[in-house]
Amino acid sequence: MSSDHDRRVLLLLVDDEPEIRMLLRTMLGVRNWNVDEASSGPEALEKCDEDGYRAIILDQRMPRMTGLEVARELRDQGNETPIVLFSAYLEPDVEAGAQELGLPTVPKDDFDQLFDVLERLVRA
Amino acid sequence: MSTDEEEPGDEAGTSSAGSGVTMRRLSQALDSLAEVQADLDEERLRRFQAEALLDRLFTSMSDAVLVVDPHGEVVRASGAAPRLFGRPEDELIGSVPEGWYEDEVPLRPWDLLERAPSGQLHLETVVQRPDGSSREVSLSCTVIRDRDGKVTGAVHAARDLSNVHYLLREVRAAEQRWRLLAHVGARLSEALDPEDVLGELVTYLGGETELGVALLLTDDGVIEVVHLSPDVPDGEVLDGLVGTAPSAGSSLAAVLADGQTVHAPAPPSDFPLAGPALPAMASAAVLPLTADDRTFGAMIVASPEARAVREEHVDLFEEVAARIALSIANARLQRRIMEHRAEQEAVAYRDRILEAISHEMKTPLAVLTGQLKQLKTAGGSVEPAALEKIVASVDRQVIRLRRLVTQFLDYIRVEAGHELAVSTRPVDVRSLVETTAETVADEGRLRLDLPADLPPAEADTNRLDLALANLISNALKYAPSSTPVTVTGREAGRHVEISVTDEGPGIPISEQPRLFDKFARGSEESGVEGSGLGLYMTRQMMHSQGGEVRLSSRPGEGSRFTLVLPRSDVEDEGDNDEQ
Repeated sequence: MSSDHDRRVLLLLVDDEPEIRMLLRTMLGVRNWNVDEASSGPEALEKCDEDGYRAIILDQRMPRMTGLEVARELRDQGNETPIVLFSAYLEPDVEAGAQELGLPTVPKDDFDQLFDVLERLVRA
Repeated sequence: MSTDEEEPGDEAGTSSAGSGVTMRRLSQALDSLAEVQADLDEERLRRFQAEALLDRLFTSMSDAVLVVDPHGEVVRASGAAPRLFGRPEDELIGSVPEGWYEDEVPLRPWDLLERAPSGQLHLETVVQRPDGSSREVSLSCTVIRDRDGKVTGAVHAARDLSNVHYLLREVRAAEQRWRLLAHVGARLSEALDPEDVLGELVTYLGGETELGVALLLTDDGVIEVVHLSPDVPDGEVLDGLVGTAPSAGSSLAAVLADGQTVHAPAPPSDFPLAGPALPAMASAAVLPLTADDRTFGAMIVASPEARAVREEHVDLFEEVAARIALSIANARLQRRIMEHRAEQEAVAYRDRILEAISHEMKTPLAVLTGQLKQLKTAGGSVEPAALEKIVASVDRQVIRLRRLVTQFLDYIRVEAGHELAVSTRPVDVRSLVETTAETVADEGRLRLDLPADLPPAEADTNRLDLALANLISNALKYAPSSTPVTVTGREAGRHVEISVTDEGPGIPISEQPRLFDKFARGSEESGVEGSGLGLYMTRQMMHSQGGEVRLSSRPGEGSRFTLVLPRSDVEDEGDNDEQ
């Protein structure tokens, strides 16, 4: 999916919900993001091996691996790609875990905030 | 004896000749006299000594001995006799011991011989004293004869057995007390709930002590439970106290209020033991059931005989009551802890359901928010193709929310123990699958492969749609986004099957048995999106339609979930499966 428009900023969207992926694909597309997708943590880790993403949007609640677990794994592998944790509901322990890894968190229905955070992460 | 001594003197006085013969005879006589005198003195000494010995013996012996003459009158009494018979010595001497013994005892030697020709009689009886007290004795009666065999009297030797009997009673009482307490303790600890064995224990205690035993439990001052041993006096009156508070001023009320035992060994008939009159209780005790400074009941020990409830019974039942009270209090505390824990679990469980449902609703709501935002951002200039996509998405979210609400309401019904209110009718399976598939965002991954001649199923359209949507969205979610999900259909004897097959990682064998349980799907360990109620409710919904859901999955080889429904175009012949 990313191969067609490589000149745009490449971003990995990790969410097990096709509806969310479809929506964000459209919304990010008009903001000039080139979106690659994964529906699970293991799939995301696999993709991160190959591609150099400018940012990663991670859903927290997913089958097999949570967003935080994926983020930890990436950091352990030395992957420092900016990550934003995007979740329907952020439990205190998830917030704490995100803070520990220095990940910004965004509630799942606040798209403006998501785009702001992504812009900031990429500019930094 | 004095006459014997005077004779020689007389003889000496008459012999005035003073002849040698006479003198010799006198001398010989004097010698003889001296010998006789010596013999006599020795005999006297012996007799004196014997008398003294007997006296000492009589004074010092611990048994009470009465010597009676042929008329039965006491002529001699041992030192212990006045104490045992409760009469001074001078009153004993000269009396016939008529009425001194509880049983008939032969008082005169002749009566004794008549009853016991051997002249010896042993028996146990009770000595009645003038002051009303009594002593248990072992009595030996023996006839006395002189050298010629003539009956001269009788001896009554009485040994005080009260102390021995008292000790024996004490030992027996201690043994009974120990056995009784051990039994009570064992039954209380064996029981799952000590309150279940109270009736049995009351009967046991009544039988063992030969007293009436009642046990009352109160709640907030009101008598809730009454257990009675079979022959408790005024039992029906005590039974009637259930549901009432003991009237103020009664012993029962006092015991419940201050936790102090009331012992009424011989109460008047109007004694306010429990409030209402208890005329059949001629002796009673009321003991508190107290633990942790709280009195929550009482035991009543009673007898129709005055003074039958003795101090020793009060001691024993105080101990019994303490054990029972402690057991009940412990069990109640344990129960409260369990109830509290169950309550906490129920709250945690409810919270989890609510959290899960809220989570499931968040996704369609977030998508709706996103689509609305797109519309707002674009203003009036949305391209028709984009608008179509937005409307389709909004449509799907609304359907998804409606399904979630239906499933949640069904879940509440199932949890409340009700059947789901389904209405089945012949359903064209192929068309239903197509409709359901359209409402799921599949990103082009969904393949439908259903034969055109698939027979209709007897199903509830809404529930079948819900079950199928659950399986399809699960498959899309669990399998990698690049893999297809296939829905197939087939006829299987009297059934129709709809299968959803994915090329995902499969389900570990160990998780398969509990996959259709509430909150399954390993949601705890991996934070699965979704409530964990989907598969559970899928099974419930299929069962309610007379169908079922099956799983076939191998790790690494994907999963296949199959919905099985009865065909509507064949007669149902019970549960015969032909698959």
